[in-house]
Amino acid sequence: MVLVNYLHEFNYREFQEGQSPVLQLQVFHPDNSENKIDVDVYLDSGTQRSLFNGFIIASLGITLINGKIQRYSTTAGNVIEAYLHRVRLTLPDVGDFNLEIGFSSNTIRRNLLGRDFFNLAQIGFRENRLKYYLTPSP
Amino acid sequence: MDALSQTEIVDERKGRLKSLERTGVESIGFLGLIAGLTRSPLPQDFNLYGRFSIVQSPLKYDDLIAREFPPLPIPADMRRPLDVTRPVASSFRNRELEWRRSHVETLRSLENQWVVLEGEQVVAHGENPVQVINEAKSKGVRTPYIFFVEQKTENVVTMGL
Repeated sequence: MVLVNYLHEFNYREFQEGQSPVLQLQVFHPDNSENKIDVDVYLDSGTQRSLFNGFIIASLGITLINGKIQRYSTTAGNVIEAYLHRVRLTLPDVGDFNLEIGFSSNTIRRNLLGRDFFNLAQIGFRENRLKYYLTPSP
Repeated sequence: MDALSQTEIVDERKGRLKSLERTGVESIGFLGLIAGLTRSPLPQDFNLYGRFSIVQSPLKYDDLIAREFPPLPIPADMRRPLDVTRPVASSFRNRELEWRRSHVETLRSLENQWVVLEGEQVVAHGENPVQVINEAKSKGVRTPYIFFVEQKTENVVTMGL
């Protein structure tokens, strides 16, 4: 049996589209902690690498297309083009996470926090309680 | 003759009981007790008949009485954690989340738009997120909290991509 002690508890967020495992986090400019933006992100273990809206990186004063290009294949077979940028994500009360994230060249509706983030944090879902638990990974 | 026969029957029972004592059958109970309490395998050179001589061994009667043993130590990897603490609930942007939860009608009028919310106040909204952020910053919001208001559609479920 594997036992995990989680430090943080979150309720699923109740939005227009229903209740979802969503985090509110801060995206920081990697070199300027004054420059930041708060966004919703969906926890999505089906996403190999996190994908955020391109306007987020632009609002931090970073040129989107300066990053390395990264294509994302959707379940419908479409390809979304994104650019990789290293940013600092802060979950207030939890901690900071440095991650190289794809920022989409076109607007997407949801920011997805994928398995690259799951590699930095242990997350447990309790769907029947509409809760999830998180603890930074050692 | 009848009385003699009856006497023989009584003697037969007594004789059997005496036979049990002689063969040490009673001491098998002690033996089992010892083996059970010590929880150790019997020695290879264990001699059943030798153990029967337990009655004549220097063991005292008190040594053979069952008594409570201290609990066996539990291996560390089988112990359950005793220092379990309840996870802490996050309070980040709680005011905004509560507003979003309790203002469904207001949000319906903002469907398919980007919204910057600060506390209980909609600071800026529109279809272009960059413009919405810039507007919020121009109104003094240093760290805008921006989100997209999805259209509520019946019989549609959401997915990541």
